[in-house]
Amino acid sequence: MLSKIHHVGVVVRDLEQAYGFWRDVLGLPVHKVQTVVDQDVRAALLTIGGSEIELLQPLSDKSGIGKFLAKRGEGLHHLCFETDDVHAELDAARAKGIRLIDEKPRPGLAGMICFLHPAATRGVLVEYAQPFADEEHAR
Amino acid sequence: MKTLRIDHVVVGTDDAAGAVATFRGHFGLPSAAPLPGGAPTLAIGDARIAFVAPAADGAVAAAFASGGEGMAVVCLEVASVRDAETALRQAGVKCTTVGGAVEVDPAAAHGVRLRLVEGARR
Repeated sequence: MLSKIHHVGVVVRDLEQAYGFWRDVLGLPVHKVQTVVDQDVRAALLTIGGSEIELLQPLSDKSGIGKFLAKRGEGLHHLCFETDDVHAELDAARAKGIRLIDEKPRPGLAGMICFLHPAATRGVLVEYAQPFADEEHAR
Repeated sequence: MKTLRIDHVVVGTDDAAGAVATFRGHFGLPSAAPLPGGAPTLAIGDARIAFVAPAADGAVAAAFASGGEGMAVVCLEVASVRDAETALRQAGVKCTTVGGAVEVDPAAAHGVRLRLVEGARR
């Protein structure tokens, strides 16, 4: 079951510079920062209510986020829904014939994650995330 | 500035009914109160996803023109729009007030079309 917006993903050129607006002006505390090696990004989660804003800085031009930045510039990237069972949600999406990006969940900044193809969701890149059990999510 | 939560995310689409059906069918999201302009929304937790035609909203039109159908605007609830506007201006961030909401210059918000509202506008 999808319970809430876990986060909205935003591609930025420079994470530290982005803090100047999202953390310092909007007042959103930085909850977690991590380099996601397989995606070649440096990412940060900033808490807003029970959700987060995820800032994504590409670490190479060849990564998916790097290509997005080169093509479209900084801006909105994806919308992530939280679930308590990412495997079940992915299976359900597959059963509905929804085009997928990930065939199975994988670890990410927000927990175990997977992406659906934006062509199936009106141009919106949708992510499912099941937070790690040992990690207290922002509430 | 006291920023409270994500109020809604706007999907820019020229087929709102079709997009609602897609999101309801894919994700099982229930209907929620429409936006003040009448755009349909679906509920997800304490937030909503709104489906807005480009012709109905300048920010959506700008996003639609550059990227087509997709996520266009993020709307955050703040404790006070007036305080938010003051804080933005003191920080040197360009913004405009439209219909009681503050629209942040996307150049300052790292390309994000960001709108700040008070809870009463929900």
